[in-house]
Amino acid sequence: MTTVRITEYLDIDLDNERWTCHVCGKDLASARDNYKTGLVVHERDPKEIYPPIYPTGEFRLTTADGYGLFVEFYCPGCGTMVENELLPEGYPPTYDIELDLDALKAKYMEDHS
Amino acid sequence: MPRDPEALRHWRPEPATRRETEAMVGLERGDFEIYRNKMELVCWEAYQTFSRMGISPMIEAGDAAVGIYTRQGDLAVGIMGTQLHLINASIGIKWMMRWFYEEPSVGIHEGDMFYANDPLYGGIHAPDQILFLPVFWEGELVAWAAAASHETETGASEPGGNPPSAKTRYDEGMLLSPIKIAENYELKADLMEMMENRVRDPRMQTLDTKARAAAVHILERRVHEIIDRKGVDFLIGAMRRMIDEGIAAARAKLSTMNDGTYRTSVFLENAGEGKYGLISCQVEVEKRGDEAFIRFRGSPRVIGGNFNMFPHMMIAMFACYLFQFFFWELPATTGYYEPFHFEFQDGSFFMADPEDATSLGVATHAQVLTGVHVAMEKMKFGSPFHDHVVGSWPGTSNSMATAGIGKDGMPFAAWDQGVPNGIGMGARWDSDGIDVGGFIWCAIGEFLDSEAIEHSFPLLPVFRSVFWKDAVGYGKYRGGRSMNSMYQVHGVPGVAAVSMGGISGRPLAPGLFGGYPSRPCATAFIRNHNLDELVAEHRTPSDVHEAVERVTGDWEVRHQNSGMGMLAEGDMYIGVAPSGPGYGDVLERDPELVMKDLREQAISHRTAREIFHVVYREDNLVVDAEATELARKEERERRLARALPYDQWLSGWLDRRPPDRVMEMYGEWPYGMSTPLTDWEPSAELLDEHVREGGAPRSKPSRY
Repeated sequence: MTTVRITEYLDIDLDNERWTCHVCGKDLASARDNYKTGLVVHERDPKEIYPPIYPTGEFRLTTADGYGLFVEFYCPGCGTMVENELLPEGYPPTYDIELDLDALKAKYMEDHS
Repeated sequence: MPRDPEALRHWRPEPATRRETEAMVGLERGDFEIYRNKMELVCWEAYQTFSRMGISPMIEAGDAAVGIYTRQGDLAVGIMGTQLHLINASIGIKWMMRWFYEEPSVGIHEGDMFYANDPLYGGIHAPDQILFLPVFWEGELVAWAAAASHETETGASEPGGNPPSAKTRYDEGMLLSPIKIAENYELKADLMEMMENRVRDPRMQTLDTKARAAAVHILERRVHEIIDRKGVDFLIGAMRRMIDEGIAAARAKLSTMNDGTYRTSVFLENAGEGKYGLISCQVEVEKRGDEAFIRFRGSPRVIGGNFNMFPHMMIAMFACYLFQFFFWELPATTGYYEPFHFEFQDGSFFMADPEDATSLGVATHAQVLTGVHVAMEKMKFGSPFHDHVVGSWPGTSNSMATAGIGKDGMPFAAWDQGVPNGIGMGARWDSDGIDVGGFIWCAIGEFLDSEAIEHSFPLLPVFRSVFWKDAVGYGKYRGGRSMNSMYQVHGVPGVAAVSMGGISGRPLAPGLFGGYPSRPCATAFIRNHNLDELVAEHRTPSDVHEAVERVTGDWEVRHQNSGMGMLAEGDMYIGVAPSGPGYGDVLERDPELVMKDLREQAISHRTAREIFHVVYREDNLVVDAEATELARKEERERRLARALPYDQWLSGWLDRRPPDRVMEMYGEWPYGMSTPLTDWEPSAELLDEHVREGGAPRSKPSRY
């Protein structure tokens, strides 16, 4: 099997064209699709992570109300947080890594042949 | 006088001239490398002189740039510092070569110096002022030298140079198309007088202009020494080879990266004083072979705002990523830009109207650059250079300009550059981000001493040289820490205080691979307070958390870009610098690093327990490794229990919208706008062959 590491927590299995978890090996999604489609998702109020510091006012040294929620993407196998985004409510998650899979296969399978 | 939009497209290195190509043939290996290094050292010498002679806090702190350019205006070599100026100075030189070289009423002669800051002529914004010197040898123009830095005052509608309330360019103060401010190496009194007359701090304007002149004189003298020793052809050939090697290095490095498209969604949250709300920018880096296409979508121009800008401003800002993080191993040259392409949407805030205010376009391009940075670092992770992956700077800085009559009776308008330079860098793939790393425009800017601030301004730092607790982006590796500060006005009846450029609604730069972004910033004015009592009780606050707990009085919490207010003697204000975003999952952070964070007061016990899920004794900070492992296992299980499969979550998510109050500037949902992309490539040659190839000026009538 030819596996290429793409991010801190994601590999691509080139033989099967699949995203897999680098931590637990869980099969996640087609490598021709957004890896996020194979993850599980949870939204969090940013104030859970960064409680306000200024006691009053709209801008309290944390994300102000209405300016976004943390969308956390976890590996369904091991619960590792693979990615997070601070998105305005309803904004589509970013397709952040769209690789040219054919070029990737040509590059690495050639290297390993 | 033509503003010449074509010149603004000539950020890319021009094709080599015949003279340059022929001169390169004679270069010997060894000689070239030695003199490339020498020319870089020459730039450092000029930079050091510049930063020691200038008095604006930004120049004193080293936020400055110097570079040596070819006759055509391409950057051969420059140094760290505010790298964007190395690129926008290039555009200014090209404009002058096109419009002044054969203009008999101006001309370009040995001993001349030129000065400019107008974005419509290649500048960034009014405070960023550049001095240019053409370098001659035996009557022939063979090179250019430039020195640039930021003035903290421009005579705008508000002091500080970046007026948050500006609505058109006519609110921005002194905007200069290129002017000849010196002949025969002598500054012209009429034009120096003009500049002094147009700003609130004439002494700073003049001394800083002289500091720039000193810097370019050093460059000229050293270039002359090189020519004297090696010949003029050596210089011309060496400068071109620096550019060509930059081109080759850029293409070689890009070709090692995985082909594909890398994206970041960036959300700004203001467009000027009082204009608060969301603006999106979808940043896309498409890499194919040894080229990359960088596209920006979704950011409607805001009429009457001053976060608009011009494409060349964004392209110049790209230098601050490119030279700091992508080509850290070689001296800066414009050659690195050659394989990159930039595309912008018509009608976006990248495509300002010439009448628009753009004074805080610098905040926009800094914030957008974080998206480019994150996309490029994700690309870098899958390459042989993965061991150089670094998270982004947190975005724009936060400045509080103060202005008035100082303790010495002299007018002043400036700010403590320690706050902007006190920004933490993004976390790295194998370690935490650098504390107080500088700021996005300048990775080597200094954090000035508090004594210097007390000496220069009527401000007493109550606390200043202290890290801001619980502000970093958390992760396996945390972002670099930043400074927080509180000042009291003293020794004068009052000052004008201008909050400008910052981000308060949300953090800007994303973390990498599950790391969190850092906190946003906001300022506070505090009047009628109890500081004297706290001092008497030995309870003087030492950071923003203690200030909130202990300081009573009239607190006015303000957006970091809220414009001018007045502070009387004794009043106080708080300024915070953003910390770096994090890298990786918080549950992977070494528990001993969390204890180190506690010992260094980088985080609170709440953060250690509830974010990092470490179990330890608070009295001695000894970790219970087994209990920590169990706590983290349980937290992973809780994550899986509360999360939804992607498709199930998405179907509910996409039906939701942000509240209307933050959507006034947003445009179309969800991607802001759908107008076509326009590339920003040169569409015509800027100089005719005679001028390009070293010809002397031909006799022409003046345009006037």
